[in-house]
Amino acid sequence: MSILDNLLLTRDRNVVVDRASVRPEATRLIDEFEIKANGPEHVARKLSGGNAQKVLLARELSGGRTATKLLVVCSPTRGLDVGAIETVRRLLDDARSAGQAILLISEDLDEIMSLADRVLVIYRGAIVHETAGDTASLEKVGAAMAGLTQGGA
Amino acid sequence: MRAPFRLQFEQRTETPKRLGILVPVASVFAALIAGALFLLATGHSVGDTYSNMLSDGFLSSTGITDTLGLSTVLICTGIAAAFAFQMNLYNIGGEGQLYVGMIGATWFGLFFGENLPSFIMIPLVLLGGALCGAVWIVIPAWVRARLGTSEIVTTLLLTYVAASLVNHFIYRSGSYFRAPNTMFPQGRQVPDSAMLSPIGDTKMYPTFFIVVLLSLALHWMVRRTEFGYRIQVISDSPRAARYAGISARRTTVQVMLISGALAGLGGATLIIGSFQRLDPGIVTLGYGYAGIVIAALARNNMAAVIVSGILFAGLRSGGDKLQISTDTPIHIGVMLQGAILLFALGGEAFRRYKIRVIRTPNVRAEVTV
Amino acid sequence: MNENIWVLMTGDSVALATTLILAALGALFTERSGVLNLGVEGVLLTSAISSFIAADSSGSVWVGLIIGSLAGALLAGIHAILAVVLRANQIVSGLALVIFGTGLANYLGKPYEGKTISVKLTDLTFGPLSDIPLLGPILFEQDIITYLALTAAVVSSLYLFRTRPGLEVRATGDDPATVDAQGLMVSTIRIRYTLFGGLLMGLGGSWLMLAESAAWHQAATTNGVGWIALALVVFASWRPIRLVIGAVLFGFTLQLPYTLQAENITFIPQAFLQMVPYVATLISLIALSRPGSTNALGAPKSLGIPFVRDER
Repeated sequence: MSILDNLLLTRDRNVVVDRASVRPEATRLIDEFEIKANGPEHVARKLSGGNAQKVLLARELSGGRTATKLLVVCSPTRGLDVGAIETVRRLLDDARSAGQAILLISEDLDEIMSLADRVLVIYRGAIVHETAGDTASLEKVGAAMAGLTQGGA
Repeated sequence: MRAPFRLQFEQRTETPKRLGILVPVASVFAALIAGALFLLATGHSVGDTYSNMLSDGFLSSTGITDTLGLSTVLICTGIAAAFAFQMNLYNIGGEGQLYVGMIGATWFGLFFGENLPSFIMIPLVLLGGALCGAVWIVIPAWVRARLGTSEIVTTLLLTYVAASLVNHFIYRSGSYFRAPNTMFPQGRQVPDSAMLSPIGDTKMYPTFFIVVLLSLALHWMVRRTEFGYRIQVISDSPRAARYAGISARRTTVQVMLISGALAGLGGATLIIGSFQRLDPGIVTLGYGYAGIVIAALARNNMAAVIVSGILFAGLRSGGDKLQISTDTPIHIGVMLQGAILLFALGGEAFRRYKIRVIRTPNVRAEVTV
Repeated sequence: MNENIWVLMTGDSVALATTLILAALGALFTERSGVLNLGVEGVLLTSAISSFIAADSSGSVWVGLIIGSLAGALLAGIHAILAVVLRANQIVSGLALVIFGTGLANYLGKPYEGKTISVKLTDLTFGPLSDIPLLGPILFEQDIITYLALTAAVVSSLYLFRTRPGLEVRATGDDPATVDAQGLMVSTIRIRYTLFGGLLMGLGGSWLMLAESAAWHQAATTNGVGWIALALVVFASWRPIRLVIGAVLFGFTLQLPYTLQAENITFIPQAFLQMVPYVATLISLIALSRPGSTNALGAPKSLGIPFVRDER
């Protein structure tokens, strides 16, 4: 599937699919999300991991059929290079600022600290720690993840 | 034992455009060379055989019109196969769907033909053939979608059942499809209103143009419509399809039914055109199987099927005439079809990969020296 | 019906089953190594006509059997090159083999059309054993290849499930990456068993010519046995012993129309009897299918998937 066809997944498609009208948007998103591709027709499968990730985010964050009510992202930057990590985090942050609800699931503490507004730690199926993003401390969250909380057994 | 070299495959990120043309053309030539070797080995003249095939298949005016006439049914079975193949559904029972399409078309022709005018009958017979072709694939489509049963085996097994049906309808005495009062069992001719006359003094029928237009329409549909988009997403990435709420199950059934209908339509074009009756001889012709080759050579592109369909029709009809002119077995045509496909498949590797031959250092040889 | 019909029918089923067993065993080995060769029908036809020509010109059944088997391996070799070396689509490659093999067989067989062959495999007899009523003719009046096919099935079962090379074949079909990590060449193993499979199919095709029909009738010589063999492998869950049981069952339905016709039992139209084996296969295939996966059947997990080492 091309990048363009990926975008179409989350957009209204009439009986006749009008690719021409989506193409300018695809070109714009490739630019905006800094996707290293030859153009909207570039096959997504042949992109590098980071760029493929960005295509996914572009697809989900750029509106489309119904603006996504809740975006669930799981380890969105795992395996990406530094530049790509930076872009992806910035995009998530921008989306949040624009009012997008995001549930971020990650084991990367730096990522959680830099992005989250509210942090919940799950240990053995139960929420063992809860704190606001700006008051979260690396030690406490880390300890909770290891099960070392007063309440946790 | 250690191979003296190994092949390294490097996936191409982008396939050069010229290879898209070069590979099929080269495979045709390679197959012709292989065919020439066989002709030589069996004591036939290569030059005579090929020049006769070329003129009888493509160049002479009767040759090319015969070819276009024959290509009508082959394009049908070709797009039938290509349509399913593009979604990785291997309907290889086009042969059987073609038979049942013929049975259906004949039935509609015989049943309604006496009372209805031609402009109603022709579409009715074509649709009847398509409908029956689709009916013949209902079970394979349904079990494939529900249970995952391999459509390859089911569609093929039903081809043998369909062949028995054709025989049954012709050889059973008193059959509706059998001509009454003939010495040798043969089919009853459909009424005039259910037939088209050939164009001028040729063996080409107007159905050729219908089929070409249909192929182009399908080509457009696959590329430009929501339905085509669904097919593409499912074949490229089943997970993305599920995520987007596209039902692979429903699309599987739809695509297979359309594929069966197209093969059935091929059967109907035969009834409207040159056959005019249900003829058990159809089971020896293999038009349905040829569709698989045609689709594969066209790389499942509906528009390209028109070209590969005409090419194969020419090989076939040129080959058929060889028997008369040079006493070369007609089967060289079928053999060449298979060989072209084998070479095209091999050539496909060069389209997808850069292939390098790497010598492996022969350690053992050094030790013995 | 008298007792003789039952003897004839069951005995003929065992005999017809010979080609099925050999062809299906060939397909089984090929598939166990992870290669899907749909070209069985083409391989059978080519090996049948090759064995016919070889036996006819040499006057020896054995030369016929050897040449026929080699022709089978040769055709399977084309598939091995395309499917294993060049990583082509195995389904299309197998189908191409059917078309090519059919064309080739008809081309080579043209001068022999309708001719019968002078030499024929003879049935072995086991003296008093063959005289046992009912069981004697069924079990002790077959030719050597039939016994060979039955033995081959048992040996194959032991080989696949009780020996180290057998384990390697199965592992190559299930999990080629692990086999590769063990330092074994996946492609070499696959090519080897594709060729061996072709050899077995070739023997089956030759047998069809030299013991059964003994006349060349183009594609009608095999009449779809190759396709039934493929269905049989699925039916047998890729296990040689179950394959024998299935083959006898299928053989029984295959010869049923002819036996009934010979006995003038005509109340069932012949066309419907001809359909029986195909419908029976279809029904058994569907009955064995489970939603979600083909694995409930025991299919090799990487069947039909080319092995590529360094692809992500």
